[in-house]
Amino acid sequence: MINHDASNGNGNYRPTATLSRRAKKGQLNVIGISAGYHDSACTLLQDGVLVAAAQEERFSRVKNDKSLPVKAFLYCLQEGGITIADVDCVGYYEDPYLKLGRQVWMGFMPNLPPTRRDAILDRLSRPQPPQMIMDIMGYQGRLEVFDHHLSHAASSYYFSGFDEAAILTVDGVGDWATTTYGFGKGPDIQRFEQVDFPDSLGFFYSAITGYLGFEVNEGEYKVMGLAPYGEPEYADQIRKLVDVMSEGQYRLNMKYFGFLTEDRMYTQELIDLLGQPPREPESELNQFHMDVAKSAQVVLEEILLEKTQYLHSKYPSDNLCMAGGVALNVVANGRCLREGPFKQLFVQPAAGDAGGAVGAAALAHVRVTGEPPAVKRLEHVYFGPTNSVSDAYRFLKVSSAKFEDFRGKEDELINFTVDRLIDGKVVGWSQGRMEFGPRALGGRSILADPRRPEMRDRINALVKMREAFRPFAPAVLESAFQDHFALNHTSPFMLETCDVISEIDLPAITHIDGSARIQTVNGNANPRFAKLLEEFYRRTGCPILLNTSFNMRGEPIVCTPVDAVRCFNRSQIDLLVIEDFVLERSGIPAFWESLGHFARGAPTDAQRVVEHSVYTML
Amino acid sequence: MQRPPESLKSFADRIARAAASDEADLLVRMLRMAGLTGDFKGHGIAHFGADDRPTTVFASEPGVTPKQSRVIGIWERREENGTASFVRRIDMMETWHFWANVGRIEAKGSKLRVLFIGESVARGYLYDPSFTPAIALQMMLEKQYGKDQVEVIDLARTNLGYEIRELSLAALQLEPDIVVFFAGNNWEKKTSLPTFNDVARLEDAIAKEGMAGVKRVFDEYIERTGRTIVKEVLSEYQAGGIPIVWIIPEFNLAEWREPFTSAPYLPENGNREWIAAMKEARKALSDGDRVRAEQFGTRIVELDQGICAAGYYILAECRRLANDVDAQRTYLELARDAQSWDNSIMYIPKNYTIAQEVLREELPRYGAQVIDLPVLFKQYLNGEIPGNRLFLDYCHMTTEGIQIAMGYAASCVTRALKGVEQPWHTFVSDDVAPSPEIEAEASFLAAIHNAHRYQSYDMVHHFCSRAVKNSPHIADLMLYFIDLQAINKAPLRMSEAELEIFRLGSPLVHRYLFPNNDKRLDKVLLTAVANALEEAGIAARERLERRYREEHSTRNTETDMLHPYYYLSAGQPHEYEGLTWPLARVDYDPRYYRAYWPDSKFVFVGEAGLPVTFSLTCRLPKYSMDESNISVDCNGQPQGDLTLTKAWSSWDITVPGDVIRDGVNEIEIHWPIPQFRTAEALDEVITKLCQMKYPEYYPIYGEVHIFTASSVAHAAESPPELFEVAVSQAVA
Repeated sequence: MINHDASNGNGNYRPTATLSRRAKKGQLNVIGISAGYHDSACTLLQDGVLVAAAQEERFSRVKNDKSLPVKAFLYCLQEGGITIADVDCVGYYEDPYLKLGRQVWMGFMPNLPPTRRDAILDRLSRPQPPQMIMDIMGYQGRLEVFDHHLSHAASSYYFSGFDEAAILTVDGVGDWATTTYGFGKGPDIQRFEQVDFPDSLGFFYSAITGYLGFEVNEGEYKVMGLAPYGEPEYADQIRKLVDVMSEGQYRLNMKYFGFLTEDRMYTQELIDLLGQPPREPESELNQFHMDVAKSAQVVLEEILLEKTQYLHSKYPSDNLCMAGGVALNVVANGRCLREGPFKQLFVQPAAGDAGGAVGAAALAHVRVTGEPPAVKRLEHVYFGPTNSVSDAYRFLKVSSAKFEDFRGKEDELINFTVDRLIDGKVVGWSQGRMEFGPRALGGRSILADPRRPEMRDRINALVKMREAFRPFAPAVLESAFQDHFALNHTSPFMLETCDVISEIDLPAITHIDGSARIQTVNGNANPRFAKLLEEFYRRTGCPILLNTSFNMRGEPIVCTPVDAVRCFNRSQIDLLVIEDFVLERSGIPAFWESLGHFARGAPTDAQRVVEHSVYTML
Repeated sequence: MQRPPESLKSFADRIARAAASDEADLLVRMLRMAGLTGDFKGHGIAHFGADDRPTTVFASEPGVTPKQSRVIGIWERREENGTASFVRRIDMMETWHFWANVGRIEAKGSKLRVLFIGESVARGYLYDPSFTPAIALQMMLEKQYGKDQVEVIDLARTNLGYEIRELSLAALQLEPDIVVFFAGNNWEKKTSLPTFNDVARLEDAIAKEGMAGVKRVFDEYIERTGRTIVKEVLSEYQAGGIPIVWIIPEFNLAEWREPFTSAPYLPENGNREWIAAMKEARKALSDGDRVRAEQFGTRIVELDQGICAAGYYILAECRRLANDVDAQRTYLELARDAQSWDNSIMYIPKNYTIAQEVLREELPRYGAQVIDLPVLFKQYLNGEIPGNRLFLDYCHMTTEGIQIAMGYAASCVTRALKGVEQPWHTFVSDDVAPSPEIEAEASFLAAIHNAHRYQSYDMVHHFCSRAVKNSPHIADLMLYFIDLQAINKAPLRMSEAELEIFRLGSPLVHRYLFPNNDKRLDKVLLTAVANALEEAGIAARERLERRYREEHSTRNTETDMLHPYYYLSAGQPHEYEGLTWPLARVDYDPRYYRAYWPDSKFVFVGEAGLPVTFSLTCRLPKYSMDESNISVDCNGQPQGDLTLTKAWSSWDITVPGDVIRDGVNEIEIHWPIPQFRTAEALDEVITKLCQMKYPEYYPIYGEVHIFTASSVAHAAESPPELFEVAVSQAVA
């Protein structure tokens, strides 16, 4: 530290500032990054504790943003109270050269369209992510690169709370692998088998997703949601798409898949096989589409069940960890757990590529220290930016919107909100830290009374602007969930489905097959959300709320209070609760709408936007 | 074969590993650019550069020539009852505001049809839609021809560039009796991605001439493209027997100043001398030593070979002090033209000398009448250099400028169609002008426009005062604007202030302010606004000071001085701008602050007597020494030195309260002069061009990752003064 004296005896001003170099913070600061494909994200582990995690899309407002997560990185630094100078190691979630090898191999496909060949050459001629992390983020320290599925495996195993577990990762593709089998023991993760590109259960499901007119790499969960409306009438045909082989292997029957050469996932042969043309996006869904969805879901479940049995035969543990985009298929997961050999299942809540950032950070921590991260079992996913009450107040105060101020009156706020929920209002709920991963779990949620028959259609049509068939999920008090749902363990991350057994009629959250994808809520992880549920329970006898993500179709989930108000303004949500403040629709000035055409949307930089007609794998 | 052979997977991995070796990615890219890896023309790479004809925003049907196109700008041909009219396309609604607010262009009737084609200057930017050059021309011609005897078809488009070719050729379908062009300001350096030819040309030029070669290459492009367009357009009009009038635009030479940049990499360590000379020249000017300033100005231009505006501005100022108007004008024109090559600075439309010369040479070949505004304005101003009297900003004209230009246009039209000689001024009358209210609003919008393009306080204040003098009604708008900008907690479209502005109902505000404004601390602009209002007897300064204090004081909040809201008020545009590179820089270029000048300024709002603690994370750049000191000043007072390396380091700097003043304060970092490895840096320029990254033509002096200011920790020791509490309570 230098203290400069003001007097130097010759009458000239002398500096009086105190300047001191800040000592590096004592923690081991490890950053994890995933980027370049979809849902780029950044995480921070401090001494092995997960401190911050966020997807770039929440800051850039570009859905599925794939660009280097520069803003998420700055957020992680800020949340950790550190600077770039304090970062000890960056873990990157996939090996760019393995990925490049896979991309080059695709170039050996005969009759490859020139655009594809050019894109492969383009990949060969671009700086790779480690270089970009240095150039764009300015990071110049230790950088560790891990392969894609190892990052997935780590993202699940190290946060599962298991001391040992079998690990199954399944996704579309990262580098070469598309499915891996392994196990974790203490700090070590081992893989003993993998299925390589182009054989991929993720692509199998995505091909059906594309055929059914949904966005590839985004609409897979719609297929899962559509499936219960159908019957597995086409299961035999769809089984022809995948040859299930011995051990962990399977093989796609490539005559049905177009992704190696075409700008769509499937070929004419698939159309011929199913006997009907592919559904036009946004067109009406009929029984055929529902039956195809059901058939694909059944086939996926069969394969996953068989492969988990195989995994157990090789590593007979009670515990199974899963990650990768396919692990977000909660219906399949549930079946694997119910009918398979494992007794406990942990799925990384951000099972897709965003979660790869968590895994990469954990692996980097292990590589630096030789120890696993300090986290035992992940208890929540509130690792994103928090709403500042004072900032929210100052924003609302100078905005032209009218709002109610409940600061210091939490009980009144809860009562007020519950009143409105009981009245059938749809509530935007932005509280505390934002969730990491695709699910809104009471941090950035839209809430409603699940007992109202009209609520699902209303929210689908007026708020989410999405397909009417898609179900909503319930959030339920942890203390009461077993009275209403056939599940014998908690489900804090909305990653499991189970039958609804409630005596209360819950049409808004009960899927057509009588199931629901539930989130159990306790006061430790999210005190205010739990209070809201408790008060709703006290007043109605129903400890359950409909809970869906706070966003409109095609947009990322809201992050800041400003995002929340913008979404509120554009949607038909009745009430917005941001921290201690409540806005009602009547409080929104009419001129916000009249100025709508001046509103600047998210940047349209093509390099950030993710392709949804096909996985180009480039 | 449904999949590539499994046996090739290892080989694919081998190729990928080879690509990981040093510069293998660059090798592949260069082979592709050179067309040696196939003939695919995607991504603007292989062979794209063989033809550097600019792209168009108008060609809607592949294979259809502009003359056959169904589309003229935003209007589409519609056949009804045997006649073809052109109707505005709904699907182009997002670009309607670039054009005249005309829903339908009817088929040619009995009226004399005057086609008016041009850029934003022809649009009447900042007056449009309330008053435009086309409206003025219509009014002038009606006096000559009668009210229903003439129609001016306004095809002027804001931001019209080389697409004027397609627009003009398509517009032949409108069967004009005469065409008036008012264009040349947007004839720019190539703005598409570099091609193999571009890179090869630039590499050769840099090798032979250094950075001056880059300017030559781009100037040649402007000349070549301009000449081609004039030829292709005017030959068609001439062939159709349509008389042509072309107005050559002029520039606000007297008042407009290109935002400052340092010199790009210069040969033989010239950068070090350039920086020293610039500092000496400025000091000499400030000391009133014109001769010494001129010596250094001359040396600056020698060193940078005339590719920077800064040296010419020094020389122009010296000539102004010497009352040598002609030389001053020459230097100002050279300053305007100097950075025609530079993709890293904010785009400012201008009619380069080279474009003017193309027009002067080419137009007579097609029988065009030429309205040479640089010459005519000089005559009109009795030799004075044109400034804010005729211009609202760099090129957009005031009512007076529009009247002169359109007076000449009307005169030319009359000469061509009637054979009658009628002087321009006879067409000008008081009614060919906007209302005082519109004049006031346009002036205020000009103040905003200029301030957001880093112009001086004097220029910004000029337009604020002009606004207030034109119409007192503007005061409400200006006061709300203070609130809109100074209160940053609510984004645009959501603030109470914007609602109030909206309620004022000005069409010009709706057209220009709402879509274009950015939130900024706006020290220069808001100070000018407040002062202009105070000068008119309207209280505003206290409002501004209060807003700044309430919203931004370091007492209450940590200020992120790298946030654009603050950084854009630090007076160093080069560090923030540089966004004209065709690729979005976000995916390729550093996302942290880099200094392009040895002194980096940052601003925050403080309170006198209240210490401020700064958190700074910074490092020395690539070509710097391994270790060196930087010094930190606050409000011009030295605060101490820090020893940096090329690795990031974080620092806490607490500046005592006696250095801090009420309102906007400035903290400055003085970086060490780096080593200027020009050959290495320019070689890297070519590499980056091949990689489609922004080519770093300019030396970097320092890099900052985080720089914040806060007094929160000190605030408890220094409670706010009583009056401030009272103010807060009153506001609450």
